[in-house]
Amino acid sequence: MGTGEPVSAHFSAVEITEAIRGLDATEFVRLRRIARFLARFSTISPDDLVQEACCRVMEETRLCPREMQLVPFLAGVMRSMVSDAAKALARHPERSLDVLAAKGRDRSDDTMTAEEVLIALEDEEVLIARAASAKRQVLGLFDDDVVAQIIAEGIMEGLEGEDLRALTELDKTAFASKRKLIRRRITKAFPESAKS
Amino acid sequence: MTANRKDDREALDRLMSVMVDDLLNMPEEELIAETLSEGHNPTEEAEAIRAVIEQAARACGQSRLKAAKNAVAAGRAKQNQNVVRLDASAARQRLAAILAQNVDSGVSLAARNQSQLSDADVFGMLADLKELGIALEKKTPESES
Repeated sequence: MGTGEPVSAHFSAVEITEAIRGLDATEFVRLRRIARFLARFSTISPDDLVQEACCRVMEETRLCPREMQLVPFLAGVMRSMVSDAAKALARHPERSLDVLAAKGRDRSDDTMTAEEVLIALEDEEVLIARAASAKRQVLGLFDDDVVAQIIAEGIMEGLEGEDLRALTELDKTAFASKRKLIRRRITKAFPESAKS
Repeated sequence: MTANRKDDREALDRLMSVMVDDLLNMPEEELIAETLSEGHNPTEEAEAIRAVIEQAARACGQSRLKAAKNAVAAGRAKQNQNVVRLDASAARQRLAAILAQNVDSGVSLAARNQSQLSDADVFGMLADLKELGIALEKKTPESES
């Protein structure tokens, strides 16, 4: 140590690009599964989610700390994209540019056509209604399984870890199985926003 | 009403996060088994993501290249703003004036014989002198007295 320039706390654009390219096949599968899951709550397709998340880190719009694992970091970027896009549309329809940019990244300019503005405005109401309806639908998926319903509702209310498990009185294995069941039912019940 | 709508979104966000965490922590065998059980081929899934990543890398590479080109162009434009454009005759006058002010500066005799210099030589010499830090000093009332 002590020679050369100090190492940055974040990966550079070149480093992160190589690191993403160097992920193994299992991690690629994991990324796609996460994207497929998140796309169920978004108007963005799974592949567009992955591509936009990668672009944000490769362009250093989102800086990845060196101590952070790459796949969880990319998952976090995708998660905030889905969440931010929905919030932005609900509060400021004009910010739906983000969503449109994510949909068509190849476009050379950032201008919206009149048609796109209309679509964005329609999307706003659609997304607000979609959140309320999605929440109802999710809970409705477990009408036949009170414990799963309690877990899903608990998660939505912000309960975590042991607090959540204590609510159900399940052991760790049974609790993990219920969470898996919740994810599978959601995956089955909600279509992806666009097939990829 | 707005608060409820916001709460619904946040509730879904929380559920999303927990489910994504489960996927992140899922052991490899289970991940592959679940992928297959949902009717997806893991090899094809991995290849599809590899292609998406390559597309992203290309797009970002091009965008970095474009930004670098713009930066170079902007630098050149700024440099050009600082360059005083002279015609050949003005350049000769300027060179003569600098040489007159710097008789003892060691500039060669040949350089002083401007009539034998081409326009290109004159411009070249002005550039060389500028690089050496020899420029035409502005006359002040004090220096004239």
